[in-house]
Amino acid sequence: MKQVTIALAKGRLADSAVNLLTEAGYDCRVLQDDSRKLIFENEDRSLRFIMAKPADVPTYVESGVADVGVAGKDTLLEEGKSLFEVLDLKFGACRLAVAGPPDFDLNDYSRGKLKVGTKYPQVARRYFAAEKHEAVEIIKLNGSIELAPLVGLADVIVDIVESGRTLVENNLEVLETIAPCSARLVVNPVSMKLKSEEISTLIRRLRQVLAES
Amino acid sequence: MEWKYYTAEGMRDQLPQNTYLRRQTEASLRKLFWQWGYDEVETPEIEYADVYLQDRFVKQEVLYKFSDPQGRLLALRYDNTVPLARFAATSGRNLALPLRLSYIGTMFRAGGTNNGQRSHQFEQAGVEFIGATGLETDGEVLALAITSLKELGIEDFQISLNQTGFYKALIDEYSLTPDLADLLPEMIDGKEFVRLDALMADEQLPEQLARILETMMETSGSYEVLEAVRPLTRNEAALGALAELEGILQYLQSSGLDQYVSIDLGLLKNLSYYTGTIFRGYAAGAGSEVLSGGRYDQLCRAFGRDLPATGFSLDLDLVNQVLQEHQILPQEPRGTEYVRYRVGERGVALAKAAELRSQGFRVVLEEVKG
Repeated sequence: MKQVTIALAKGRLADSAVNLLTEAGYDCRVLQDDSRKLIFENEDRSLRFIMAKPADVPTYVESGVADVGVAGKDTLLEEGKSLFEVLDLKFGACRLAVAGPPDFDLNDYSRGKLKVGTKYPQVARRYFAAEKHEAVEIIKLNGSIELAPLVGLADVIVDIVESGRTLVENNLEVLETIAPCSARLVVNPVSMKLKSEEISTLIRRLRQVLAES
Repeated sequence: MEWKYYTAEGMRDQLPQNTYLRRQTEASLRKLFWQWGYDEVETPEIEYADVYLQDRFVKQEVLYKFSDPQGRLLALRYDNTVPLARFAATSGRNLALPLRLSYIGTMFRAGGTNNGQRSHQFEQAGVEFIGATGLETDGEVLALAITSLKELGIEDFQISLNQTGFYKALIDEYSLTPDLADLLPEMIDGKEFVRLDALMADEQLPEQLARILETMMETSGSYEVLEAVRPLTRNEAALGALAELEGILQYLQSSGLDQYVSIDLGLLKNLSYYTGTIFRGYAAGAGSEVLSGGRYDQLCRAFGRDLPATGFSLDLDLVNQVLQEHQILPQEPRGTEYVRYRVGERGVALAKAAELRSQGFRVVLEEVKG
């Protein structure tokens, strides 16, 4: 039995992932303590957990230091790593969208070069290039993205939208949806070959839990 | 900003122990390729960019480009398969066929995020078997690929094998939109079951095709994979591709190497110039494939000579990383001898050092002061 290393995004995604793994019959009790440690091993040593920043999970899995990982589809689209995306875990549902003032017309090009504030520069650049053949000016931001169009730093934003409440409270709305997103199970291609039995079992058990719920 | 302290972006220095390991790895492979009847050749590190850019063998953004004094676009060697196809069609055209060629050299690949993982300059070793086709050719090249890893002392590895003709034949049966036809190989190779489910839900894929694709993505193994997909199609070309895979498995069985190989019908990414059998090798300790290869029957034609061909290359940077990770390191043939001397006794010391060196020792001279 080979040990499988799983990279989890600290925060809500990790909690949901741990619940799902527990339901699938994996012993995850080691993660229950409120610890600042970053690496954990469960009791029967079948799983090793590494806790990373959400945007870094694909990096750990691509390099092979983690065999599998749980990451949001938004992060996967932004990071563009070569990984196997094998399962939609359903939790963490949201969508990547272009948002701006309600009367903003994305297809009116008389405005000149569009300024887009976002945490997702690759996603934004690709979307406008593919959908509108437009090279936009990207303004990379790290949080409170909604602020940018309000103070005139950007015309529109590209961000994840869950309920849309933050947008409404700031007089913004979704102008176009880019992609629906949720948590995905990703696998390193080498691990898929060399730990094929362990990883196939993990996928099968998770799929079963998801089908039952 | 002064840049003199830094190696250029994507480049790195190699410390003595790494360099020693690299030279040993090269020596083992050079000997092995020679023993299998492959002649080593060298192509320039600089080519006209046209060599790679025609027919879009390679995307322009991954080439290291610059121009010659006449303004023509040049590229650093990106791989050795394309230059060797040029070689076979031009400089090597009078050599007797079939050509069994090998190379060991430095390749340059720009662009992409590398997160400190991959150097833009790296070393590859490989072979090309040009001017021959058929099972015995594909079998030999794959057997040599497996033997290369074994010869270096690597045991924990797996080769995935596919015949691209299977997928192509299946797809030809259905009239798919160009967008869908573009997207499918990437989806299958990435095992993106999520996207497959979405396409099925939208009824964008015929159900029969979706079932076959799902099996291609899910199943990996030996003869049982062939048995699992054979009943799903009546397409003759597709069945022919499966028969070819079965033949290669049998070839490897007769050389006792079949336990390293599994059939993976989903192996479809970065096909570029590959036309038939393709394979990739994965080893514990490397996050991406250490070896890749396959058949490329159209490539030489692009240089004006119609020759079938097959080959493989090993990524020696990754191979050496695996060797270091598993502590499979070459021993220095003999330890180092130190000859210490005072300046007044220099003559005696130098004679002694020369004597030891002639016996094959490694000798370091050290002056004793005071």
